[in-house]
Amino acid sequence: MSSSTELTEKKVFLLKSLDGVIFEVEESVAVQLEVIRELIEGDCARPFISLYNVTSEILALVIEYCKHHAETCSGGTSATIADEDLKTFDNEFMNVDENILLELCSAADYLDIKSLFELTCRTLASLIKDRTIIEVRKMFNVENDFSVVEEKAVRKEFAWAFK
Amino acid sequence: MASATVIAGNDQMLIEILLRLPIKSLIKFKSVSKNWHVLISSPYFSQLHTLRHQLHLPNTPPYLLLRASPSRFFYFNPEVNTFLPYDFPFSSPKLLRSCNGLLLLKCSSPETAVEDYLIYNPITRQSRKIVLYSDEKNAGTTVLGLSLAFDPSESPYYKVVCLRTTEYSMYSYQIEVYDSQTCTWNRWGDFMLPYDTKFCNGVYWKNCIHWIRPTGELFHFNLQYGTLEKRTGALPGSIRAYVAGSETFLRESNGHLHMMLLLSEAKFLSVWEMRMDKHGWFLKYSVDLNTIPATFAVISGQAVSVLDIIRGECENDSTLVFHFSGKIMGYWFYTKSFDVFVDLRTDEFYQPGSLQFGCSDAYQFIETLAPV
Repeated sequence: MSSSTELTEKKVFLLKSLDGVIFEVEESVAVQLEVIRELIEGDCARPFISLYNVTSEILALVIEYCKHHAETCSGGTSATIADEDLKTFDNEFMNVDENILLELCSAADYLDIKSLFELTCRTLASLIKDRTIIEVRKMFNVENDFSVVEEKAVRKEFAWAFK
Repeated sequence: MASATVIAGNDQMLIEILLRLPIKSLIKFKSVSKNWHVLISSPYFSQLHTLRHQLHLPNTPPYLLLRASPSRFFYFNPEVNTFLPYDFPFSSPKLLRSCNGLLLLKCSSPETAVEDYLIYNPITRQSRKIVLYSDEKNAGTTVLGLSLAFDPSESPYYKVVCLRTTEYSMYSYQIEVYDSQTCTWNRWGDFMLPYDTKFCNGVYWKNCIHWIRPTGELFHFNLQYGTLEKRTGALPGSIRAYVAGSETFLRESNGHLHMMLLLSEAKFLSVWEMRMDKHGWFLKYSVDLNTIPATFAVISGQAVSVLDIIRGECENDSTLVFHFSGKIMGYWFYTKSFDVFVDLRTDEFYQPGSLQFGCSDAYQFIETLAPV
């Protein structure tokens, strides 16, 4: 598949989401997904790469994130301006519904995008920092498996944390 | 909802989120579920959390625990700049040592007169009783001092060091070390130490317990090799001039070992720091406490007691904590400025005209989740 015309063109890859939607991305975006880097480098990424754990809604966001980061880093602006720009972008990007945030975190983990994983973990942590136990259980869909006595004992231990 | 379940069921990912939370939230979230409790309570998590927050929040100053009377304690939280009462969940606790987030306490029950030694985390409020080593070899011996060795950035486990006499000589000592990883004691001996060594003030620094003599001589027990030696070359002539007539005390803060020499009459303090290669002291700071602005004094000519030195990550944060004229005050070495941390004159335990705190009443600690 290597013709002389293709060398001058930008390499593109096709990513297929869990629900079958295909996204076309440039190499600079695709390489940020560590999980498929080997496929790309080994030229095994044809005709498309199936990403079984990511829905099209989330994949679109992930691609938007990677695209912005790739463009900002190669844009020729000074490092400090690029840093500021990314910070602003990241802040706005994290301004989503918390279920989306959880899915983005999960996707970043699966796709192995370190900066996005760090960003989503940090955002989730600051989101739940001051929440009650009941709110956290609901958000993470965790069942309370303590008996009444056990829960009382555990709560006694952290009584000061509410002061 | 699907992803929430994925995260909640993926411990590695959950750990990554939890690692970014402050201690207070983590202690609260221990009661979310059994799995969360296990994750947050594990030594592995505690160590990761400590490492992460030491790296990312290097400027968090340590907390200070103050003993106001034999069994009344207050802690000073530098983030909110206030003193709050701290109640230990034991009867008449005696605070023996504090080391990087864990405390060594001695508690005696009034009914049975039995003395218990406890390792206690003031943040998680967990404690563990330590039963001292005993066999036919230490029958009839006296415990001279216990020390605590704990560095959460190195290991989630701690060691308790017990220094005691031997049954056959007043000048020969043995050392027993308890390791929290194996829950066992190991015994080393026999060591010779001068009789006037401050046995009960063993300070942990760089995998060694250090004891000081009033002369400024320093001895250290190496926890890795079980050796006890005098720090050679540690006392150049320039220090000897200071040592004469001074109170000497040893303090560790934020990875630095200090020898503080206070000329009480002259109210002059010099702070010497051990070089990182462990070979000798150098003069780090000196303070003329006569320069405390008169505005801070209730009456003139009052005594000063030096409590502790707190080393921040940068020089600007390094502070001397002292007690003067009904107040706990700070002196910033870098800017040479004084400030009041807390004015005790409105507190119920304030006694006018007397020094209520001494150097053995102040203990630094850091917030950790370290299991005991």
